[in-house]
Amino acid sequence: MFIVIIGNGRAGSMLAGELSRSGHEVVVVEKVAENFKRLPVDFSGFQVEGDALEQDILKNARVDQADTVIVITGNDKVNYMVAKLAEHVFKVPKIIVRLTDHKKLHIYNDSKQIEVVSQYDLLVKGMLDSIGRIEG
Amino acid sequence: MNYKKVLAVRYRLIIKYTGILVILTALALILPLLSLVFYPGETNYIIHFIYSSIFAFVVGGLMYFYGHSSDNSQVDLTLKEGSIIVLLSWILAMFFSAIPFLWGMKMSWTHAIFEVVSGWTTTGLSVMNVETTPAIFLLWRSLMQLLGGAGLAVIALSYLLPVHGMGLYRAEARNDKLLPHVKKSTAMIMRIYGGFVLSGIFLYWLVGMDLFSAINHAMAALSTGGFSTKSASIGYWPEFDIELITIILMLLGTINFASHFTLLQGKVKTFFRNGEIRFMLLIIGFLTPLLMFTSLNLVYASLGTNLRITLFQVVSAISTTGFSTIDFNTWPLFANFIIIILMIIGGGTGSTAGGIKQYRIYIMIKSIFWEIKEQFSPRNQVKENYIWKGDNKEYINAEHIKEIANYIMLYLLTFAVGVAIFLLSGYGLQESLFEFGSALGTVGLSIGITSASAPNHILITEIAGMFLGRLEFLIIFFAAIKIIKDLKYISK
Repeated sequence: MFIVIIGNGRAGSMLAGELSRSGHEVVVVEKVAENFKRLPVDFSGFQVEGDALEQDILKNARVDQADTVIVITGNDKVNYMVAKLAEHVFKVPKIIVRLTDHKKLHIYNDSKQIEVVSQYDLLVKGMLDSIGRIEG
Repeated sequence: MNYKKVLAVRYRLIIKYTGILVILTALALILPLLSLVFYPGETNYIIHFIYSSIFAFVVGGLMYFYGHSSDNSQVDLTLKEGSIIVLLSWILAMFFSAIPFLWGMKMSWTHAIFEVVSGWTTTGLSVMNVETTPAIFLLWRSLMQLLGGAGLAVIALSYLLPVHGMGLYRAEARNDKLLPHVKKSTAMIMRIYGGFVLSGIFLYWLVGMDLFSAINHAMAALSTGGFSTKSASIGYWPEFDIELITIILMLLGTINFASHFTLLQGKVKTFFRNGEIRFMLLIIGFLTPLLMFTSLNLVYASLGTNLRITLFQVVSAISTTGFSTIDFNTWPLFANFIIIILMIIGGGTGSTAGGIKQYRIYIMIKSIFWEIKEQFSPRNQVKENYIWKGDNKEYINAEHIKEIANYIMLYLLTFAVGVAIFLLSGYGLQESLFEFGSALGTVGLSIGITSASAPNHILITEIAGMFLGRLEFLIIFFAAIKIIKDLKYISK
């Protein structure tokens, strides 16, 4: 599968490494060149340096050909903007977005292609599960 | 887990991967038997190839199982570890490839190793007399060039190895990513390479070369190797079309696989925007007429012959192929000087060629212009220098230029040392520069020093030059230093 990952922070680089290792074609877009150092040594995909809010950068990363776009920067506003660009301008079939503030979940309500992963919901769910294990 | 255990796990993985590459060599050793289709009478040599193949297979298999037993499936290879694999597997591959020459041709160790190194590094210098050599050995020489041109690691990565191999890919002097995954990139390289070889064989056959020679020459031309089945090389065929096909194949071989990929996608404009391609076309377009009209018009009277021979030799030298149609002793000093310069510049990066590589020379020349321009620009100007590489602008920073300058310095130092050894052995300056430049750049043009009667230490110097030139120095140093450091640690 051809996957474009927007954002190469701690989460993005880990994901990029895992996907590349399991045989997917991966392109990573990151604004700060220094962050590319986070990628593991056996990451063999492309690295695109630039601001994902610019359509040219997304075009460079071949978002138009992507099977899946993963938007995983730490900024909800940027994530929303890029996800919408991917959905409407580049017509990507599947978009997965990281959500920091779970109260903003409703902003994605109208999009069919976008799947939202809310980090604090996951965290809370994980904590609750641990408590459940202790009590049960 | 203490560091010694970590090291043990990683070295087991290194041994396992090296084992796979040795098994690959064992399979390759079977391929020369195909020559029996053309020359059924040479059955008495089969046994040497079978024995070497079994020998390699057993050693490779043992290494594989030794490395496989431990739990190391999650280990990522770094560039340094990849370097060790590449270095070890190349040395072992060369060792096993030399065995048929030792037993079958009764050659000495130095001669057999020389021939094999010249094959795997796609050089094409030879100490054999091809007229008396059985066809099965000629095919084996061409096959070594074919495989050495692609590189063992690249072949292995494309279909055999699991994906943890970016370090391995980079260790074999390849950096270009054609597609966003190393396995798909290497598979694409193999497809492009294989496609070119098949079309080369077809073209040669079409213009009247016999099939056996067509197969050998197509492999030797595209791998920029330059082994021939005739002692007169391509000059054996007087037809112009065979020379023309050879020129085209040599050019294809010396162009970066990533550039081929853009061309095959139909992006002609992108292809010609690449600085390296422009640089090469400029050199060929400028130096061919310069040679023709300033010095070689004294040697070749007719304009047609002059153009044919000059163009062929210029392309043969810069592509680091090393087919020759003439004797360089008859050329004037100036012409040979230009050929030496071309051999030092060499072919494209990420291709099958050798030499310093046009990309590096191109960046350094550009960098001189950039520096001059900077002095005449406003003091606070912000400017980022770039070159075109495929669809992308590649920004060139000072770090990158430093790496390139270091490489060129290392190359020229090695060149100087090698030439000094030649001079101390009593050869002339021109001959020494030419012959060692040819070996170091993995070209294969010869001015007459390399032959079966050459002294052993000269052949060993050339072997070292070819080996360093093909694997681009640094990875050999990385590998050697890492092994020494780790051994020191373990013995503590």
